[in-house]
Amino acid sequence: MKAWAQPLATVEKFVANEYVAACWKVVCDLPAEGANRFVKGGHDLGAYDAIGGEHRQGSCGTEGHYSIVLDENGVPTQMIEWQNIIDKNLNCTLYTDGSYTAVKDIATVTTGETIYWTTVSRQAGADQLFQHYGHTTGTDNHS
Amino acid sequence: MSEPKYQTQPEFILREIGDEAVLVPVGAVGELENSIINFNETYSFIWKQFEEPHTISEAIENARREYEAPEGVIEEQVKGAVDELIKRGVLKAV
Repeated sequence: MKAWAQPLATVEKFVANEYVAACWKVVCDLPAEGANRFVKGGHDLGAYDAIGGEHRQGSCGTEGHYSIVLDENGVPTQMIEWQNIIDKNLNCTLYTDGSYTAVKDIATVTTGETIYWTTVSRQAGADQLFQHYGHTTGTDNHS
Repeated sequence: MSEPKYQTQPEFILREIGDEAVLVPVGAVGELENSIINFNETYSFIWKQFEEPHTISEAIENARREYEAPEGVIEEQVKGAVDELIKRGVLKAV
């Protein structure tokens, strides 16, 4: 027979990591439904492309269609276009101004700032560059 | 009146790892959520007595067959452990 030992139970509780990513919302400020789309290589408000892609208030013009994700120190790390009509989530590249030539470090973006960015979306078998400009809004939207 | 039988609840799973045993709550189990419970050998033994419905007396009898201890110790400590498991919702009367 074995020697009896007092039954012992110890509970180890796991505490969830409380950090969740905070985001800023971003909205494209290009004109409303039917607005013109920037085409590849140009800062041109004047033309639709052959595919007919355009900036829409229902998509890129909707607050929250883009988010800038912040790290635990509140520093922007990434900008995402959510659920693009063709693709899934797209990463955005930021630029310092409307010439879309000099890339902007996303960590320097502040709320309320006008920002310029591009996304690449595969449409009709080809990668199409979309150029946008808009503004950030600080929010407590947590994802 | 016959003694009630108790059984372990499906929301708790016992996993034996070498000489150790841990009880893992799965699903919504109230205060024990997000926890694991480490059992020593005798606690694990008590748990196993109730994997099928048994009375506390049956569990004590099985423990006395398996282990030796001064008179009354096994009975007192098995009852204490079972009371705790019932209080935490780990064992329930069937």
